[in-house]
Amino acid sequence: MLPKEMVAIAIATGAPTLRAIGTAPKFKVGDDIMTTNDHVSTHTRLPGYARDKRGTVVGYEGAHVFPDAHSAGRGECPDHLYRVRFDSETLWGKGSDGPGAVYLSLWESYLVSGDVS
Amino acid sequence: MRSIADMGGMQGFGPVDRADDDTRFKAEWEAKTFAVNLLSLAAGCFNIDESRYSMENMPPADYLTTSYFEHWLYSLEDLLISKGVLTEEEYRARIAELTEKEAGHAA
Repeated sequence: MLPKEMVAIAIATGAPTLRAIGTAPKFKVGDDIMTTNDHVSTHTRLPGYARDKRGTVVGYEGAHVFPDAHSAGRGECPDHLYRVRFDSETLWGKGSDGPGAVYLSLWESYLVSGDVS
Repeated sequence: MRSIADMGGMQGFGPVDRADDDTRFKAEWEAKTFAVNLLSLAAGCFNIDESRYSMENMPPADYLTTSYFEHWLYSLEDLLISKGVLTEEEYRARIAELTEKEAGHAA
């Protein structure tokens, strides 16, 4: 139980989700990736419109609590988190309203290598 | 699968309205819902990811016709019951009590 004198501090600083992890990140900035197409019926932070799509890693944000596991009572299971860029055209096809991009913070579990070779 | 909360790319809801950026609570119950939620999180009754998952599990028609803080209230009630902080019976009894009180006021 949080002591009552800590409540104001907890609310002001939030609950950081950055964690230590024993494995090295699989991807680096500039890597092409594909998102998975796992249509799970449980909680996930991979939006439906960004599944099975090609993108580029533009940033690495450290390892964070993995919401898919944490929401289901499976513990924090920290996983590497990346900033990934998707071209509007890739996501929306003919419905795209011109050049542009969507940036998503995505966990490594949602990504596979996008190398075509 | 996609939950009703996964609305990116759906049409028919109109453009995102940025005109109303007033983040203040619009009613007393919103502030209370927010406060009880945060304190329940701080006390470890449930975590933020369980809270989001619970909101996503709202019946879709209810999700679309209720406000932001009603989503919070739904997940708060859902989790306090499923985590055993409240029983379903206690929850129903309290609703019945309040309904009766309200009817008394109206009479």
